[in-house]
Amino acid sequence: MGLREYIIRRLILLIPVALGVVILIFSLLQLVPPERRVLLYLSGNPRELNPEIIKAYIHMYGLDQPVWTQFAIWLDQLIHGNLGYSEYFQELVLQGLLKRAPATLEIVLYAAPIIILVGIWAGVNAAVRRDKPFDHASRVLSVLGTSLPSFFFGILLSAIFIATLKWTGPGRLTFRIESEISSLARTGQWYTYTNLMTLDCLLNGRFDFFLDALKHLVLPVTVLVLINTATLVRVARSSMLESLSKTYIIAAKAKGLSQKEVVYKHARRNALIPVVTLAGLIVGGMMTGLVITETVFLFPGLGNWAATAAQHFDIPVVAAYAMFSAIVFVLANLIVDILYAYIDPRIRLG
Amino acid sequence: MKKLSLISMCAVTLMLLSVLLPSALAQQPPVDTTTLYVGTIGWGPRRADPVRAYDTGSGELIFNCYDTLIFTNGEYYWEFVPVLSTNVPDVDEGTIVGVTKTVTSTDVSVSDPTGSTWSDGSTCIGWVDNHANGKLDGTDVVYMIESDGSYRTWQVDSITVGATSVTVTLYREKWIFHIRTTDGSGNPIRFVDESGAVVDTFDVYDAEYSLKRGLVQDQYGSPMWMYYKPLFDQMNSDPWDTGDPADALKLANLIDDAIEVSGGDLIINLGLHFPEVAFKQILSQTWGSIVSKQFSISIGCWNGDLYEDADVDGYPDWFTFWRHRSRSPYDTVGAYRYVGTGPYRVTRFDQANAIVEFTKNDYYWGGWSGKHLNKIVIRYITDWTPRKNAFLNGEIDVCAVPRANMFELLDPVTGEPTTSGIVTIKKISPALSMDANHFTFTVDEASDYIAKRGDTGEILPNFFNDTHVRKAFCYSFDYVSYIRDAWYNEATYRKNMLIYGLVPDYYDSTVGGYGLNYGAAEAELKAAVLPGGANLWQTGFTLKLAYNSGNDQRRIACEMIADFFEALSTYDGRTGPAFTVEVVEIDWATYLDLFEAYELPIWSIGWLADFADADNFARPYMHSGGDFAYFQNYTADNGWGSHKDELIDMALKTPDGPARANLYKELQQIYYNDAPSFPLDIPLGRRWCWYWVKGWYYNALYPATYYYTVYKEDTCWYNISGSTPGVPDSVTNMRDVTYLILHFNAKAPEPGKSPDPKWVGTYGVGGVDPYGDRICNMRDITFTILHFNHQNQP
Repeated sequence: MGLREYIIRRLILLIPVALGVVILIFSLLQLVPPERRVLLYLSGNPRELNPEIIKAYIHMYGLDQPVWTQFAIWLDQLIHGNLGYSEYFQELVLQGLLKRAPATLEIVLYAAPIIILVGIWAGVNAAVRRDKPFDHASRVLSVLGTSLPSFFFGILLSAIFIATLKWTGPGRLTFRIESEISSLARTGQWYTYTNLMTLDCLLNGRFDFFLDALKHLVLPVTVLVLINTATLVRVARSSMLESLSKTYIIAAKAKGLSQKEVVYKHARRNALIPVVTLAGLIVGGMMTGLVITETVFLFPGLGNWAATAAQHFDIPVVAAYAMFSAIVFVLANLIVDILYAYIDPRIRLG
Repeated sequence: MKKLSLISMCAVTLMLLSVLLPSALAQQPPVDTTTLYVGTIGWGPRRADPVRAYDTGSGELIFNCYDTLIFTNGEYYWEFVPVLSTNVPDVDEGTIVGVTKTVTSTDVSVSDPTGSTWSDGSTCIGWVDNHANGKLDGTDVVYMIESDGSYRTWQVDSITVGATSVTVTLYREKWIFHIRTTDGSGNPIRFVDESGAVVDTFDVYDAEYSLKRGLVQDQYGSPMWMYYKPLFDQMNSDPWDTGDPADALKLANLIDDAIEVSGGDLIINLGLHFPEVAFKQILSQTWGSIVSKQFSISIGCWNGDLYEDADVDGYPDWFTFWRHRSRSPYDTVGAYRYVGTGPYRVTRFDQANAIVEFTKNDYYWGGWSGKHLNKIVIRYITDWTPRKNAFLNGEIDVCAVPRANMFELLDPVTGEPTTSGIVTIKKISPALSMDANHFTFTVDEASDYIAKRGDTGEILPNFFNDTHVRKAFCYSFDYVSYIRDAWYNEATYRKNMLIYGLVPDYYDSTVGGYGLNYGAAEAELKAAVLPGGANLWQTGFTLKLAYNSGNDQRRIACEMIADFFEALSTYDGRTGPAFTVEVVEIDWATYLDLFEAYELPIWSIGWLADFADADNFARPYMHSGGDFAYFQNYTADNGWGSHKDELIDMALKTPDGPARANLYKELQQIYYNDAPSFPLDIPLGRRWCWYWVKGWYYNALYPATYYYTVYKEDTCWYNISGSTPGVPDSVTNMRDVTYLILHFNAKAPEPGKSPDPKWVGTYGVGGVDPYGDRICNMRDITFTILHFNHQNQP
């Protein structure tokens, strides 16, 4: 089977997986009374919600019908892109999702390359310098990174760099600049192109705002790098150690290849397979929201959104977030599998 | 891989530069004095319609965007200043006029005066039997159609029942407001919308419409009872909802004639003696806000017609459409409107990001001379850590600091903020609020929390219907420990519901109260006899005491009660079945549901004053229909004396003075005797801000800060010399340095105590000259400024 066929097959398999996720979430939602569930069906601002109006909506959206009818109606809504209305945030859920996903994506875009590069570099070098100081140091750091929770780093870094040194602040921008952008947007002097703040600042020609946005990314990105790199270092190191012990490495050395060539051309490429898998899952996991990091740094991303919604029993947001997370994970797995198949052809032929 | 590495390196470098460059270039950015940043808890505004909003979060926005006819005078919530009225109604000035008439009727039935005709040509169309005795007597209220066709509410001041006739002296009050139509420069007073556009100019008809609209909408959970009571002696419009359209029409007429326009004056006709200060306070708050009639109608609000019956069902249209409607066009979900004449307009209402912004209303009739803010940004940050960090790094000027977290900002030795420049104002009072533990006299038998006999396990639904049991629990509470442990000594208490700060203060310290007393609790339990003859001291009991999750104060109170009864079980050599109080944590929503379902034997809920009058506390705590007493079954229906209800109603209608004081004294005595609840605490407030925030003052009735008086000023660089601080006299002396030091909130060293760290190094202990030249000059000032990490004058 060629790579293209493999990808098509995996894409087709996505459909039953997605349907399974939807059925699971729908089943869980049955535990919620119809008066709360009805918000999942609203496709616009209800303007007024009182018991009589809710009752009318329940009837309109078939929540007084058998469960399979309810499911069919909900599925139809989902297919048409309607995720309901958030009573707490007073906006359409899809609108909220699209508005906040870029904030999370922005952190991931800055953090992911650093995590991957530093993780692989440190893991490979630790393996090459096994039992040397570098190896010991990287092991200690990776144990610390994996064992200490993200809120610990988050609170520690914010106490030092925000509260004490005042080098940066919470949020996506300094409050003053955020307010200024809001005023500029109201008067049409600011255009939101991507909702990626650093990019939008540059596209609007405000380098000073760009620097501010960048400054506010430093701490959340640092926390993510500290946490996620640690795991990657451990996996990269053990994979590399395994790779270095293979017979083809001995053969390469016997051929008289330099250490650099042996390590970086032969051993590292083969050691990357599990690392790619893990990196994909880490990136996918980050994209589904960084609940603690975003909350500690007041970053208005998906994690913060979902946590706030859960605190206020905002069912449509929680349901949408669950679906979004599932889909991102499925897609992340798909991408990993494809990369895996690309790196190791034995997989797609198997 | 190499490209990725390069990009990552660039990103990291840029990020580091973005952090380090500004830090290197400017150590201390200048304070932005145009905008105030406020960090507070959760999302606040729930409602935007002034006649529906009844919570402080909603009130904050309305309060700063709308004006009222009169307003409290700064921090003095018992004094008033005119706003959209040019006068504050006053008896001496003839703008509060007591109207009396003495009339006789020969066809009246004192058991129901409705339909009777009176000697001046008036006809009684309804009445309120305050004493619930089925007889017309003093302080009852009657509704009359006068000979001129107007509908009036009157209080019966006195009644003489003769052989063939009845003579009554009736009283009502006329409040006259001379309406302001122009500002100081002769410009009209303008209503502006959120964008700053002028939508209308203010006149007396806007004031009339605003007050009538509230009575018309009369939404559930709204503050409109505060108008229904003084105008009609009712809590809402429901008594006129009898199924007969004629009654609805009567209410329409009563409303129409209660709020009248006479020339340029607005007249409010009160149907009874209502405490003057209390009614002025009602008019001064957000529920007295004046909206634009023209604008309101344009967005689809009530059209102002009290009699229109377009659907020809006999009812006025407002009665069937607007009355009790859950939302008006002002607070349509997702499209709140704030259009007033007040100093600020809401230019950003971003619920998704939990941000509200106010911008200065350029047309504000009060003017903008002096120091003011152009903009206020309120950020609702639920989590403490990011809110604290934003406050500490100066991004937030004013911060809500939970009491449990305040020690993170305070020096444990001095009790002062550890961060130089942060100011905290302590023990702000009066709070006009009180927490109390309420007993449910009869608990639902299905309750999991119900009391049981300690020996047999038999449930005791009427456990707290026994006064001795309630008193035993009242004696379980150690106020000193509670206020120390739960409130860090930032609370106080009184023996009954009449808290500090009520105007006038009818609290009587000679009336008894309760407190920790094992012996008294023992005596009360011995006196609490159960069916069958045994007493609780012999049988013991078990009981579940609930508090809502996260409420540390309530948890501590519950635990203290539990500990008391555990100790009492073996007190004085007692060996019988134990007194077991189990403390249970439940979420707030469940807590509310359970107490409303009469399932919690004891519950605690705070009460925040609507107006600073004794009635606003006696009524909820003691009246059968009161917010607390009703859910305690402390009601006349349950056998708990209609006399207290009668006293409360009489006290409200009795003019301030010794007679009213006596009524409240009797009520306090009843409260002590009945012990329906016991006060826990009266919290004292705290405010946290940076030193550059100025102009704030505390008014116990305000829902939030009134931003018009607030400004920001970083005076570290100038105005530090002068014979009066702030007035330059071209002389630099120790007074200037002292002023500057105090400006940074540093305290002078006290003999025998550790000096304030901010003082040390500036002038040293004892005020030593830092350069030792015994000359006080600009060099010393500069030293002081730099010591506080500020730059020299730019």
